[in-house]
Amino acid sequence: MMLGRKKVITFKVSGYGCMALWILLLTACAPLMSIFNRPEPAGIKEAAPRGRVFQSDKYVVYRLEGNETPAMLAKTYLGDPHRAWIIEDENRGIAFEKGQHIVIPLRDSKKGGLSAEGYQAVPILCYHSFREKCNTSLCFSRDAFERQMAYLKTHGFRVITLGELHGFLRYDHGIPDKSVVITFDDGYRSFYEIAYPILKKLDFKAALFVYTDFIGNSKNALTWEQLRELKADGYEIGAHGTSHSDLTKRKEGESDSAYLERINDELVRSKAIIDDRLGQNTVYVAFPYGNYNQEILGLCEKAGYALGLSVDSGSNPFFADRLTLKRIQVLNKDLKDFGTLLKTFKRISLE
Amino acid sequence: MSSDMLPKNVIFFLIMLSLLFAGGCAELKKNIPKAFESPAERYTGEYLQQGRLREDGGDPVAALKHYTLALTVSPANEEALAGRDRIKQLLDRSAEAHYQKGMSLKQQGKYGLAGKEFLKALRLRPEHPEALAMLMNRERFETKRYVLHKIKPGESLAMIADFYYGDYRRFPIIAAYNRISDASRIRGGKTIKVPEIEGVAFLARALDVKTEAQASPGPDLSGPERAPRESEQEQELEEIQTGLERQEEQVALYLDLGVNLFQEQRYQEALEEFKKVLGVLPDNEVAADYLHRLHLQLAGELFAQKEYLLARDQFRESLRYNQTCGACRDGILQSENFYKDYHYKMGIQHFGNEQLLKAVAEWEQVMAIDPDYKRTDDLIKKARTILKNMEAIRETEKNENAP
Repeated sequence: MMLGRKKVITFKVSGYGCMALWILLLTACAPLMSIFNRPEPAGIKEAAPRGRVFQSDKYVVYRLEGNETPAMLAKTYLGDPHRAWIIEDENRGIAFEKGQHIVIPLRDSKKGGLSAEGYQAVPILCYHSFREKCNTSLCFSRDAFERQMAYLKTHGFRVITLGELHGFLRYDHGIPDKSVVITFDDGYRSFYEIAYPILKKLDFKAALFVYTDFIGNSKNALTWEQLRELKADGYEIGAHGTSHSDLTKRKEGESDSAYLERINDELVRSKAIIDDRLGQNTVYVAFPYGNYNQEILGLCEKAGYALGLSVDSGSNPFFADRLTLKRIQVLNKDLKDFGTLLKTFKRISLE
Repeated sequence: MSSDMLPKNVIFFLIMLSLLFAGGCAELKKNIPKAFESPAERYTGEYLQQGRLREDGGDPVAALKHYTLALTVSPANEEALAGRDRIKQLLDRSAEAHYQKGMSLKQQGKYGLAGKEFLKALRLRPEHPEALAMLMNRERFETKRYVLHKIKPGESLAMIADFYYGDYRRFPIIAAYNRISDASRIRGGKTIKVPEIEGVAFLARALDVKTEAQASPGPDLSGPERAPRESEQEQELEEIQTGLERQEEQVALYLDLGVNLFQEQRYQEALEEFKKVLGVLPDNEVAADYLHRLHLQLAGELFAQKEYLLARDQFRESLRYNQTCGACRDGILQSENFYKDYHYKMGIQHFGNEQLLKAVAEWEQVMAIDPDYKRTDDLIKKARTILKNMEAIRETEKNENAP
């Protein structure tokens, strides 16, 4: 009986022990178990691209399934596949492969292009005329131009429009790392025949600055029809005066008022002609010979120009004077050192 | 087995089991493959680690970003929340300190260094409105004249401003006009320009000093040089090209292109480039010489095509660029003579073929440039008289034949 009682007690104790052990096990391993049975955080959701996503109002943290492209993700999360550069720049050095997680900034974190090492600056390239073969500074052969454009592509430069640059200069939004703008002065027909097909092939856009007396009036000039075609293809057309005269130069014996009237006419009439012929509001002007003075800048503002381009050499940070932007006049002799002209970042400690 | 032993055994058994379990569980936990860890947990851990590292490394901007990323994955993570708030406060304080330092430097006329401080403020707090305004806002002055002033040893911009404007606080105008990035460090002996600004009293009128009309291209008056500088030495190195140098460079480029086109006998294209050169430098002899040769060449080609008047115009243009050009003068005469002779003869030919209207048209072209040429006027009169008589005869015949 005693043994029997003892057994009962032993079984009871063992039973309690087992229960206690089970409770202990549940308690001790609760965090472990939670791995297998955890509810997803509130921010999680399944997106059109099939990777796993964590999203706040500032960022998306995205776990790649392997078949996504920056353009696809930009379309889904940034509303525009052309903003893929934001994802590319943010995740530089990260391979887009399955299991990898990337960051998609939802707010513009690149305004001004500032970092501890310095600030972004945008080179604006300036070209003039082209021929199949030529060797003067202002004229480029097809081959030389093609090599320069290929250099931009293969070295990761991003060609942006003047419109995008304008937004950057207003501190409205960021632009891609290594941004450059391409411009062409005067309105030579050779642009259409030689440069345009090369740009088109590389999907580069550019801005053309034309003087209105030239357009359609010389066999070497672009026609208004060609300009309309270029505009429809995303090229920007800016003013370059009516007669390509140096706006800073007074004619002999010209009075102050006559001078001001003449340059005002150059600036206002050229804009009006382009506006009328192309059905646009022309807001970009390149000063003939790159020359300007205070009177000209004042008149430009009154005429409604938002950006003025000189040929002072250098790149443009966001705080550059928007009416006296620097441009790099690319010359044939620069072909060998083309890369050194393209300064897209100014190193200066901003720690 | 005593009744006391049972609980002891059980207790021992339980302790052993617990130890065994705890050890096993820990080992199990340790050996769970990463794949079983939730992405949320893993990413949060990584971002927090990066946040801590960046914070400790003195990069609060990057730290804030990583704490914010941690919160993107785990919105309630306390460490991330605390880190984010802590760093935000730090950034605001630091940005403000840089902004204030910038303002102080600006007041001292150290525009380049001030610009650098404003950029630092903006980097730490991208929406710092005052720092942004300091970098972006530009005031344009109306200016027509300036005084050339050679800085004396020990003279400051404030003293110069006091001298010309009667107010030492106007020194930023002079700094801006001369693109001086540090108004407190100017060299004696250097010549600067002191501009007369619209709406600001300018004492130069009352003084016996030489003023000059603003040269073209005018200097940038859009504000002091704000491009941030590491040092003044860098400023010296980065001094911008003067307007005159830029102008000469541009002209040289167009001239170069024109010469090349001329050599390739692409005269019309070359013409456009040379005209650009003379548009800036009307006295440029090289461009003028090329234009003279170019027009002479075009004149010769047009003459050969019997386009005599067009050839004459080209000879005239050529002469405009070289007043001593005898060939041009001869060419003008020859072109006109050939033109007159050609059309005179064509008129005679038409007259002989009784094509009187065509004859008159040819002779009228001759008359337009030389009314006295070979009594062409008599021929026209004669032809018109015949035409009139013929018309009269036709009219009479018409009346006679009428029923």
